[in-house]
Amino acid sequence: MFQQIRENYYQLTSFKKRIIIISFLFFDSLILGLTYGNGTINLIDILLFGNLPNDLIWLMQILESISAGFLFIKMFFDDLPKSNVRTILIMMSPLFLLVIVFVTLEALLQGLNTRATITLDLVSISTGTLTWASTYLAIAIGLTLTYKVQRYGNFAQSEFFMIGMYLAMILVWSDYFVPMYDAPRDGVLTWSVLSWTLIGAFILTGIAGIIIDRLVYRGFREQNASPQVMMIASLGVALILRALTYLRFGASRNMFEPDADWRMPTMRWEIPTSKFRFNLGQRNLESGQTYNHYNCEQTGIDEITGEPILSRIVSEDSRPFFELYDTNIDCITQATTNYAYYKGIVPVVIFSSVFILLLLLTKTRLGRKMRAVADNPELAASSGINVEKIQLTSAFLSAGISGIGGAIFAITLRYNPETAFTLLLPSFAVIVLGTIGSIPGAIVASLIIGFVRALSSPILIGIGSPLERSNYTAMDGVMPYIFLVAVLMIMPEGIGDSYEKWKVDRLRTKRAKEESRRQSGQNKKPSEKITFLLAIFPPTALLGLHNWWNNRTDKAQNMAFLSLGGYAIHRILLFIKNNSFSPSACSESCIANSQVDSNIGLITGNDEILQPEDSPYFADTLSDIDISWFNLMEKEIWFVDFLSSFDSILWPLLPIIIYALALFQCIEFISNESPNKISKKSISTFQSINTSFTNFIHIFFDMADKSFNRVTSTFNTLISPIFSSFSNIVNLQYQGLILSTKKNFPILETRLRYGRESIFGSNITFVLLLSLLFLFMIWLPISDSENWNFNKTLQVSNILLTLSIFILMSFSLNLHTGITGMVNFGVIFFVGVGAITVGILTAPTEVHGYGWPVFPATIFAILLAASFGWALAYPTARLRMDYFAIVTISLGEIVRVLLAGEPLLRVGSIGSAIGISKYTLPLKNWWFCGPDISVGPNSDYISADTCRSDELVNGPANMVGEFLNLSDSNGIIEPAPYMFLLAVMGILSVLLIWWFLETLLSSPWGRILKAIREDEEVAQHHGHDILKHKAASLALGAGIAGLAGAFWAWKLTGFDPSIMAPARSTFLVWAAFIIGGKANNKGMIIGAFIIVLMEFVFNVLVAAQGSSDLPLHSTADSIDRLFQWSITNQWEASKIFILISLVGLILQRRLITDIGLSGTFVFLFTLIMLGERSITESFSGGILKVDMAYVKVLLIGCLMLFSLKLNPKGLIPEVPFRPKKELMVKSIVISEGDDK
Amino acid sequence: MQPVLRVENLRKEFGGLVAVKDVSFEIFEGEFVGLIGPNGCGKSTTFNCISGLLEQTTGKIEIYGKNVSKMRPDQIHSLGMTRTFQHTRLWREMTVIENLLVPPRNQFSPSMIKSLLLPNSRKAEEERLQEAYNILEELEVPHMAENLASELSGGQSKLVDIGRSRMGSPKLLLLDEPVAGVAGPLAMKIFNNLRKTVDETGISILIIEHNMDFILRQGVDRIIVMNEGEVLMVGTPEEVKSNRAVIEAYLGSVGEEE
Repeated sequence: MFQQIRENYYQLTSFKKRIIIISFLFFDSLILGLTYGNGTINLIDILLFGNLPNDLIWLMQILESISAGFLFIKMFFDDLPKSNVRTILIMMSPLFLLVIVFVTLEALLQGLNTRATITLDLVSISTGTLTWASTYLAIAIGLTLTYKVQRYGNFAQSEFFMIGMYLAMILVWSDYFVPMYDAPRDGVLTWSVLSWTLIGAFILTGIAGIIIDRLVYRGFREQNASPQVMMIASLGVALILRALTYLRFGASRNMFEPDADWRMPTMRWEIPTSKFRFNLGQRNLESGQTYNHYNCEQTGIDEITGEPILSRIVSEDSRPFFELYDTNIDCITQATTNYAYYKGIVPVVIFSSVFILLLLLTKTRLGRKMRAVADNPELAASSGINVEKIQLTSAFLSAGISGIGGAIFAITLRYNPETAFTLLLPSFAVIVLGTIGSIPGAIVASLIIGFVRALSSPILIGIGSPLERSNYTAMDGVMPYIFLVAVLMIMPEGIGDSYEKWKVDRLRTKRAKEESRRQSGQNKKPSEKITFLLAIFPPTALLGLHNWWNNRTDKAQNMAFLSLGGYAIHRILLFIKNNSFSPSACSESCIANSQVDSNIGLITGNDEILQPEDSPYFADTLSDIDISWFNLMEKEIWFVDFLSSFDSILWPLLPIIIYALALFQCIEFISNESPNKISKKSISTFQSINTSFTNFIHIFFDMADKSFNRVTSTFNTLISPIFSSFSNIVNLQYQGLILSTKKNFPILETRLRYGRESIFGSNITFVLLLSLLFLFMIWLPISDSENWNFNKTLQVSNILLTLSIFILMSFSLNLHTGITGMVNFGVIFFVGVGAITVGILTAPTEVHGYGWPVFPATIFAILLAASFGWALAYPTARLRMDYFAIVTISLGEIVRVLLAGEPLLRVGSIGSAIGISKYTLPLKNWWFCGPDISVGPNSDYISADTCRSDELVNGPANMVGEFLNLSDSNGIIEPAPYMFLLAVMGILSVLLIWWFLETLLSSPWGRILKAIREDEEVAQHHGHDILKHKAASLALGAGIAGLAGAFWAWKLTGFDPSIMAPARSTFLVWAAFIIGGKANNKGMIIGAFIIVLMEFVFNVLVAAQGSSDLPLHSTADSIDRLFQWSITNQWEASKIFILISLVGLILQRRLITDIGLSGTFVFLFTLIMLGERSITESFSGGILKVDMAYVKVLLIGCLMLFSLKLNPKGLIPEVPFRPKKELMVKSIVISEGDDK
Repeated sequence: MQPVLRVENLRKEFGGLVAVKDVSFEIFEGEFVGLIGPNGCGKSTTFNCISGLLEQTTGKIEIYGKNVSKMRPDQIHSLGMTRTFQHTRLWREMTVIENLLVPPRNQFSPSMIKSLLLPNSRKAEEERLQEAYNILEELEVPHMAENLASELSGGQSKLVDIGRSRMGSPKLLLLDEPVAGVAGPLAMKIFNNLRKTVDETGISILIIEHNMDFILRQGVDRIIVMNEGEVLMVGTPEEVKSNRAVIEAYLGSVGEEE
């Protein structure tokens, strides 16, 4: 019978199959599971003898229910036939999902017999949506442009946002704006400083974009590097930029304050609002309890005024499920929500910049050129487009738009360099949802993602305390990632794609209709009467509806856009005018003050004439600061005056012109006299404007280019003969050397034919580098010179243990990325799973652990990580390479945030301390106590530490200590540290796994994985189930990473979410991967060794920074002095960079020239803008001291870039498969024999 | 006799564009069949539908009597079908010899564990290697065996691609313009070799060739002529040569090219 059911099931269409699965999941999770506690997951719990924590069960059931919801939506996309119903359903899917969330929560709270109240304030959700949407959009548009023109995912895009933030900050620090920055609040906003700062941030960030493009990406473009390489390079750029910002401005939080008045509580809109209130879960009231509704009823009539008395409905039996209300508790006043001006300005600035950019891209020749370059660079170049210039323009615009976004976002909160990075992943979510490369798609998607973020915080606040998860309120930042992962599963093509398809479809049907109409001879003209009415009636005329009626949608769009845009500008200018020192403007603070009747009166008093004496700094006599305040204020007043007069011209004039145009067009339509005449003329004017505009943009580049070229060519003629003869000599020498080597060592020639890419060469390089690094490790000094033996052993063990962990992680990354070709930016995800599992399972039960023995727990952790890897393969199989990177990095971040917020992942302390600690360490007892002593609360030895301090106990640690002669200052032998044992275990596992991987990869499986990396479609056509192989590879790599996680947990003995920050793990592993050499495990070992040693060198340096008697003090000191010099002697530094650029010109090396010019620009900029003030603001006490941790990051970033550029295959490159010579020779002999 | 490949009323649309209107044909065991037609007539799309890269809009494709409509490419491959692509897609960062070692069937048999953990000790591996060298020899590129595929010229890549597809010991081989860009004499030799393989081993080959003049001289058993997404005619080279419709639809363009 089962057989038959199965047969029947397989015969069903996928639509019906899905319906069955979805209804089962809903029924199982919502009704059986959450409400009655008898779902599948509960049954699993029973099978496990009730060992699963209750919270975990319902969390998994929530996940089950919500994934059923997503599956339901996926059904709309995949299985429904194309129709309007489907479109509507898809449009409604976010709301549907919201319903699912509420139903699930309802069922959960019912089941738990508790209740939660969620209040959704419509206005605050909308304003929150706008603010977040625009913030994400600022980065997403930059990403889109880079994707469009340069075709790679730029992981440094958020760093441009960060540059914008810091530029805004330092521009107001500068001496030119000083009195404005911390002037006392006067109740009126100033606008000039803000505007200049925003424009400055746009241009300067754009220039930063150009600099980075010229220094980094241009070289890669010329090498025809793959998008993957560019993406990884951008990771290096991101590390460098962030490290530089940290070094210069510190980790403390700063804020952009163009005017202190922005922070005044009166500077806000009070918007009337309505609120939804949901009471979820247990709604019954016990006897005696009452519930005051928020809705009101009339309870009587006021006898004096005759007005009705309203009071809130009181209920005694149950709470309502749902209430909608718009009044305050007193039932009369309208409820309002505040929207601070400084938050409202963010969407205004960003959306208007994005619209301007959109116009630039769609309506100008620049945009067309950019699209041509995006489409096919070679073709564009051959049709006369200067591709390099277009690349630079795109770099400028994409950086600039993020910069201006960062600058305006900086006004809303205190930030540090990390803040921008937290916005990067949601921005990736935006562009993925909106289809990569589509700007309209990105705008729509940013609104959706912003909505998700704005909506999730009230829901999380509402359910926080009833579910004992009040920390979850901090999780609203992660919701976009979770949403992103879900979206990628449902519609990897995104919104923009559907939009394009819809547009194409519409055009096609339209054309088909026209065709049929023409064939049937009914080419009816639109009614003239309606045209006339539409054109004569001002509102429709301004919106261009008469054009639309006559089938000229593009014109209608243009007119509507002009009118609406003009109106929006008018409103903004009006707002600025009212809230500024514009003459006769009176804002709310002026209205509130009865003594003055204009804003300017607030600072000048009644005379309303601005004088230096009105300065807030004015004491008794005029000082410099008063004068400069006065100058600034005069400029401000001129500025706002200009804006308001511009407004008074714009608003009456623009609509009048448009209306006149509409009337004119109407006459044309009706008189039916060559309707194209005027449009042709207008098109040509428009085009000429357009051309001149594009030319104008390029003038800057052209001039720079030309003058630069002229200088270069002059130099060339002067220098090239000398240089070429020099290089000839060098070349000859070099070739001679190589020839003589080859002649003298014929064996080497055959074996080293492929250099490092032969087995022999690869081995030699490996041994050489390894011994070099080993010697370096031995040489590495220690800060404490007493107990040298002991401390050195500790240091070496620590290095080797860290090294083993990093090697394991690199092996995992190498298997995923180097060999199978899946770009995994989430190594830390699998590592985290391993570490958390081991920690939780082995911690004793008293501290919320499970008390498992270490060995099975480790095996379980590896298997769990592997199964996560396996499960990840199936939904992500069809994703593009960079989507996979985004998914994996998001997963890592999700786990990191969960570790901070989820109580189930809190082990080791009874209180609420975050993190996992107090878990059992493997063999620690055996190490210190020996095999004979049992350790525990009942024995003499409570813990391994008691054995350690007891001199009578002689465990393995003591023997090793004796062997290594680890005596302390008194000559007493110390037991060897536990780290030693861990290091030995680590090295052993590395060796074991290395051997295992090498064996596997030299089997047929290895080459199948490589074939998948090179071209998975072809691999599939040659009969390999790529999904299975990818899943196996992911699982194996994940398992290895899980083991690395276990070791990491043991090394740390207790950890918190900070270890999962990508900059401390994933990016380091990536650096090791890049430096060491892709697809070669020996390279991984070398790369990891370099990174780990760097870590320890910097540890020593940090210690040495303070005291002069520690080793490496002079090195630390000189780094410090170099840093101080670069900050205080900017002019000297610029001179050096000018010299470098001259050298570059002489040597004709463009890169050197570029470096020189960029350095000159940066230092001249700091010379002008960064004064004394920036030092006191950034460094506590004004003491310039370098933070070594960021020097290390800087160095790693640089190493990554250099390695990618100069040595793209890494130190030990992949060794291609070349079977032994003899076999081949034999085969030739045989086949020749055949021929004869 | 059961056909090896049977295509029945195949239709493929991309959005509103109809790439293949209505195509039906059959290929029997031991046949060497050419598929010709002018640019954009749907030859490659037909190939893509057969190999499972694209899913057809309507119609039926059967290989050895099995309906392959919903199958993945690797599942279709397991029925004995191998194809090449019009634009040669070798695995570029692998050596030529390694390229040839990926396709063989049953690489993990008889024992999966053994083949994974003792990769070098097995005889099967050596035999595969030997066969790969033999094929390279036959295609006159044995000297390139140790080079990376990315270092090959266009014509050499085509040759290696043919070799690679033969390593999968196919029973039905679909070749998409295999000799485009290969020098004349060698192209002839390749065709002769293919003919020989068909005669000796009894496999079936369907070959797309753009150059009609060329294929008419190459001893194929039958030719399928496609035009504008439909089968114009099926017949022996002689029949095709003398068919007026074909000459009108197609030979004109050949004339331009020559």
